[in-house]
Amino acid sequence: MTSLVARLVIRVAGLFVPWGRRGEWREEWHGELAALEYEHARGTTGLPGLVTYALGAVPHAPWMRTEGWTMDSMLQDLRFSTRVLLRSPGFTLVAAVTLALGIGANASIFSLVNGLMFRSPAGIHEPDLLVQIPRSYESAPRWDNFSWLAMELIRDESRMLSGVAGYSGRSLVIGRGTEIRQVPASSSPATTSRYSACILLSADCCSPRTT
Amino acid sequence: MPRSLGITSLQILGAIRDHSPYGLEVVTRTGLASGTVYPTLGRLKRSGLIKARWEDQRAAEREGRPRRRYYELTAEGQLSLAEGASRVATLAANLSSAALGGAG
Repeated sequence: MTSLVARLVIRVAGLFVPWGRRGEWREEWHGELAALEYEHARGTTGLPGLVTYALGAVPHAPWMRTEGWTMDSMLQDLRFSTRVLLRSPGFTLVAAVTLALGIGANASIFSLVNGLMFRSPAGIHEPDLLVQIPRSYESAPRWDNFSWLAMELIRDESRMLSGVAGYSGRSLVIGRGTEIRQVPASSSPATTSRYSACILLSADCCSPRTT
Repeated sequence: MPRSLGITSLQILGAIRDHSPYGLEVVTRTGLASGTVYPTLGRLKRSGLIKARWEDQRAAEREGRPRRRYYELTAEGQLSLAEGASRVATLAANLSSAALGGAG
């Protein structure tokens, strides 16, 4: 069974060897496998398994393909492909338009996803140091928001964080009595631009309740 | 002028010199993976440090197995191996003396 698998590995890997050299390449590998099988049958110890040995053909095969590459051969291929494309301009045009549309669509989608999901928010220079602090209770273990007062307490008392900012999806009114002010949505009350913590504020931040 | 070879190439050249003429013997003698040995053999052959020849077909058929490909060192390969071995020996001596100096 292992012999079959080993031979199959060599057969499949051989597909990557240039056609003109494939026969000799397979012959060498089959010769080595036969020698290994013979040694196994004799009971020689310290030898690799058949499949392990055959797996060496996997990096060897692509190496055979690339070892003969030279600048001259690549230029020759380039000249040949140019001549073929010029001989059938209709096909060339359709292929070029298809490629252009495909590349353009992919680039647009990537730009969108990159801008929305991968890039760090404006003003944050070290996004890998940014953490978001959630709140949960033992009785209700879920992601919860903080009040404004709690956020201020964490910001003022924390010794581990270089800065704390709160944000909210909608505008908030902060304060009590006549001393109130409105904080716009997604506002950041932190004084430093090197945030280390980000806290989602709850809508009831004006409540005197603290967490 | 002899080429400056890496440890893997030197191990393989050394194995071929020490009568391990084909891939499987090189693998067992050096302990290197077959996926490392065969591409390196190809590179050494292309550099002219070893040459390859096929075993006689009839000899292989008599033993009921495919023929093997045998490798042997060229004159340039022998020179490169000698130069490499001397370089590795100097390096090992330097490292040993540095380690002893550090320990003392």
